[in-house]
Amino acid sequence: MRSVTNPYALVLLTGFLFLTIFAFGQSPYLGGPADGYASQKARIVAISPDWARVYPSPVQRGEHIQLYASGDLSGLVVELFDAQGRLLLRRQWIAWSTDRSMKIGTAELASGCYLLRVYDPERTFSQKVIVWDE
Amino acid sequence: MMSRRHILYSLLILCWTGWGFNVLLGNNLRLGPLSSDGHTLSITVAWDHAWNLATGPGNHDAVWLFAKVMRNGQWEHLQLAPQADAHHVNATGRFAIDPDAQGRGVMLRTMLTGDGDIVETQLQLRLAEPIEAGDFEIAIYGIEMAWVSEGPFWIGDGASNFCMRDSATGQPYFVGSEAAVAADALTSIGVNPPGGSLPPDFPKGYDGFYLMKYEISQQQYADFLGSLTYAQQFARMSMGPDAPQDAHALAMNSPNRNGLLISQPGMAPATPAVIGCNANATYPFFNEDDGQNRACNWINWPDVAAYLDWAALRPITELEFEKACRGPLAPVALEFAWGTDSIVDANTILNDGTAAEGVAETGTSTAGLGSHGYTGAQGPLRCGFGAHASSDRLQAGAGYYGHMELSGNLWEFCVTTKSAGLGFGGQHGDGQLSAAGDANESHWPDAAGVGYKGGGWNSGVIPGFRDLAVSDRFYIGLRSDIRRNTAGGRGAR
Repeated sequence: MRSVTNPYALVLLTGFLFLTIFAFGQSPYLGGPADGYASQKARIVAISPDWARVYPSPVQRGEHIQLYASGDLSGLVVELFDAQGRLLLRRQWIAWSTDRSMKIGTAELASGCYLLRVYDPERTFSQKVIVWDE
Repeated sequence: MMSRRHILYSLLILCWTGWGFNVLLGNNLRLGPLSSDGHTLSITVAWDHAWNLATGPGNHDAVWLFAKVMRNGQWEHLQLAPQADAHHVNATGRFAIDPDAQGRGVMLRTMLTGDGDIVETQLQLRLAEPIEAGDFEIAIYGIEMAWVSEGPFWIGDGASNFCMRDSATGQPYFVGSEAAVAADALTSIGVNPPGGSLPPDFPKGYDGFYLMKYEISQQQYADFLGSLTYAQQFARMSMGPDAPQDAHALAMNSPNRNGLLISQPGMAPATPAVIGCNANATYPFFNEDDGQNRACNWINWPDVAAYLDWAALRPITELEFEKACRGPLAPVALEFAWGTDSIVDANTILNDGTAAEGVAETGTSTAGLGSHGYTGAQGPLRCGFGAHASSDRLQAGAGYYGHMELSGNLWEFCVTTKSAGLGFGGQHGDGQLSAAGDANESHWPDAAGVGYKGGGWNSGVIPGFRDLAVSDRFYIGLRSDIRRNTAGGRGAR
């Protein structure tokens, strides 16, 4: 599946650009030009829908990586490799709550690039994940 | 090579520099480029003057985000994951995302205390189900809301036309819970008393709720019309969608500052019209002075109900309207939304039709700024026209919790305590309209259960006429299925 713009580049950029500037003001009565409404539209072209998804990436160290998969989850295995190809984690898919997703903690990971692989006997999905730290 | 930490610090310094030169102060909600990989929607969100207060009103603002996808030539509501941690905002600990339990949207709010600007922040909203293969158009919409805090309050001010009062004492009625109100406990001065007891589910305003900070704008209604089929548009416009180019979509007779026009006529049965803002009556549409941010008049209750259902919001009751205006404070006789009984008429328009539209007049220490009366603009002003970077409640013409134009500009529809309104239980819209373009929420009232509150741009404030007063109910029984040049609306969650 492909999007018109790459969301992950935006994530990387705006993640670092993020700043909320909260002053010591205490007023809900401020305002100015424009109003409190906005909208956006985009066309996306779904060529071959991925059956699995990993996000966010980049992920801030200490946050969870979330994996999402469609179809049968019963035989899925998740593996995490570091940039040198060393296997750091292998586990069966464990769904949290009633959702179809799974979480992996990043508190023990150093900043850097990792590879997540999700597979069962009939399908394989891989995605690079960046862990960053302030 | 710069380290990642070095890059981060450099960019933060740039952001702080940007703060110093930010001359475009305003609420100015902005959604950045939208993209999707079929599993998530990625978008940036920014707005100015967000707040989360521990003192004063003790409330916060938020942005309600919901999405639509076009399938088979029709826009459908796009379900988002109902789990809070399925969504991600690129600022850990600084925002909360509260999804609707049915996946109809999410509420984004800051967790920092104080007020300030939210710069462009990346959001990733996960869809409830991946989008199947294909070529899709997706739309996302954001509406700024302000929280009306849970707690007791008063309805009625002892003086306004037909205002509510305690049957036993004759004084304003104290709402101390969401429990049912017996038929003999609450009445009104004069006509239009409640049509019976208020059931437990009827929203009485004690519980907290989000209310749109502004009235529905003309751009907002144009986007809504643009998502409808030809048949649905037919129901939601004054003119048929096949009316010629430049015909007014909503206004009848004089437009009264409504600039929604047909830019491309539709063709029955499959091609809806394209509606745009063209208040200055010159091409192209959507010039910077085409009135996009003006409140949208010429809409009736069925139109507002359809908008709220489509946006997965809900109407408010007349009790909730008074709560949003007055907050927990003691009633002041004949008071307006800003808490005093005096008003400065917003007559002299500046920057007409633009995003900076305002007026030359300003509120005083005792009189709030409101759009009303027989002179000045013969139609609605920009949403939030009175607020600026240092305005107080009276200068902004705001209610206790920061909602703008609750008094004046446009009349607003509220579910009434008439018997036809008492079946309302606060249900939210589901994002989908009927094929005919109507709201189809079974517990929402029809026009008989809805009335007008808050006054409009042509409401006089003279002895005996206090349409803008918080507790005034003079028009609570007026027919709400007629499109008027003075009426608009807003919704809640």
